[in-house]
Amino acid sequence: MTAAAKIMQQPGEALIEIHDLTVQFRTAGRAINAVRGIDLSIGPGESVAILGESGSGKSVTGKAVMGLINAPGKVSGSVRFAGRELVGLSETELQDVRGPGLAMVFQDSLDALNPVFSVGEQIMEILMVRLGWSREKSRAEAISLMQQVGIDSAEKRLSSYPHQFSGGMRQRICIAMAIALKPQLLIADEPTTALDVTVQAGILKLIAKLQRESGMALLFVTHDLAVARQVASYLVVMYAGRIVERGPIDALYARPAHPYTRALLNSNPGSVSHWSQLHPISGNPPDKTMVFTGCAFADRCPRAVSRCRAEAPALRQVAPGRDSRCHFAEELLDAH
Amino acid sequence: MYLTQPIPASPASTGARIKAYFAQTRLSLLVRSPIALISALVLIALVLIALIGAPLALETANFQSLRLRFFPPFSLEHGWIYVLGADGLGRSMLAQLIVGARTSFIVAGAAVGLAAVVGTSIGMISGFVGGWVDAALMRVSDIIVTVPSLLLALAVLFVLEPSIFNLVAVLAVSRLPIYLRVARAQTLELRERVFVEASRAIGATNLRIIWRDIRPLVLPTVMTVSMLELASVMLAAAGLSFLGVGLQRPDVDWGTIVSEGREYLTRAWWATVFPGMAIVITALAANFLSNWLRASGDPLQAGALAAATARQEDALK
Repeated sequence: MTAAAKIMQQPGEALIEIHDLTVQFRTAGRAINAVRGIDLSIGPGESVAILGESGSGKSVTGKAVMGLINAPGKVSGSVRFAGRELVGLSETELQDVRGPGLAMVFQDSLDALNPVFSVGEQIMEILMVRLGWSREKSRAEAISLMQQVGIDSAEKRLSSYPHQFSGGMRQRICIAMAIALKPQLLIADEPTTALDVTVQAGILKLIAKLQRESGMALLFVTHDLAVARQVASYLVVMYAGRIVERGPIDALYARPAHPYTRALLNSNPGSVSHWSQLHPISGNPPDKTMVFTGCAFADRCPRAVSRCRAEAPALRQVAPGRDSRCHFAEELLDAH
Repeated sequence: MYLTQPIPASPASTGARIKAYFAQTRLSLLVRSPIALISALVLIALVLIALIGAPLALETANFQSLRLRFFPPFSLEHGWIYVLGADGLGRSMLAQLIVGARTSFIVAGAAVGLAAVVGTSIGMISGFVGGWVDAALMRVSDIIVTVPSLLLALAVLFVLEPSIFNLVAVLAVSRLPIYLRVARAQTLELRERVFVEASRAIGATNLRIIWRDIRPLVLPTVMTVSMLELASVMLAAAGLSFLGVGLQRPDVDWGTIVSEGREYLTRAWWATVFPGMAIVITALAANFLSNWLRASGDPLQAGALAAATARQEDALK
């Protein structure tokens, strides 16, 4: 698995290297496997999207990288960020990395700002505390940050409270706070899911623009194929806590090498001209307490044969720059 | 005018700047909400009476006269100081109320303040940290709740000598669990909120998260609780004084006067009713004010409050 990962990106260049990351929640004698071993590396300035349906472990992966998994969650494996191992670091040690190293934008932008302080106060606090800047300097920077994320008359809006902003505007402010310390990697956890489609486009453009201009790396978590394509150049598809396919996003779109990716494409309303052409994926995602002997997708897979249930496929390179976790990946690629 | 309107960048004059500042502060809202304003004025008046009046009335309050025994109120026969009547020893009720005001405010205020600050701090830490720290602190709190507060106070004050300081300490400890539980319960909910996670994600320390993300949202509830507590602490202090371990004459507070007057309730109602009314008025004013403070301290509710006030004013025009 790692071998395949290294083909895609040279290890020396990687900003963050995730190796065999697992996240398990132990509650009342049951072990819930949210993430079952992920290998991924992201280089400086790269934009990677993690795609998956609800419960695939995509959000948990993002939070695990940030070190935001609380008890009873247990993280194991390795996350190396800029040469430093993050798994097992204490909360105090992580505080140095969070902000200038890693920053995060959350899904629920309506609740991601403290309701009792003005937004200017909240942006300025980050700068004053972390960089030791004066109030005046922080205020000027806060205005500049708010302008960068596209808030009109930023100077006036500085003293407004979160509830006086719309959902989209609040998400813009959250982004301003996340980029305030110029992070090397921004993790965006479904930042547009709670927003209107029209607002969504603006936020995606903003994230793409900021990523391009600042040169920070981006890890974008989403369940929406179209959204992933707008911000990322590399796509990782997750299913049942594992990576099932990854590769350059356009190549993956044109020729998926895993039945799950293919099924996702066929179930996307944007990709068909009439609803009758839509093919929802039958069945439900597997129980997270389950331990698989074969392929996790076998029960819902139209191509599944007895081998799929007996032998677990490994994530392997199936074409230059393309990895898939399917016994029949080559056949799928050729079929297109 | 809304609370949250920004201050003009460069006001023309000092007057305009003061005006703009006034419009931004809660003071402008307070002036226009009658109940809150009256409550604030009542409390200020009571505090002033306690501070200025008590030293002046001290001698009169302790002056006994058999001739004035159970002198009825609302009569100026013996001068205005006996307008609220006299108690079983012929002491002026008005003078005693003035002197008692000071002690009541000091004892109840200090006990409530101490319990609120300490209890809230421990409660927030307990709820935020969780785990065995939380479990241990909550069991200690359970122990305090289980021991009848009167018994605890009796035992402690019997061993230590009854003094204002010990009284305050005992009252504060026995009232601690209320704040601890309220603050903990709110913290448990708040720590799961996204903005707390966002603070962590940007590298905020736990202490900062408690201070900036949790404390401001726990405070309004704690404030309301402490205002409610003010009256019951005044009465609890009176109960202890009644049992002989609280305040001792010549120290006197409203609660002491109530409990002393209770003996001859059928003969002289005024010896109980007036100090009782003083406690009720103080508690009511504190409650109204805390209610308003809570609403105006919340940016979301303050907007609604301002809008409602503006609507009322428009309707009157």
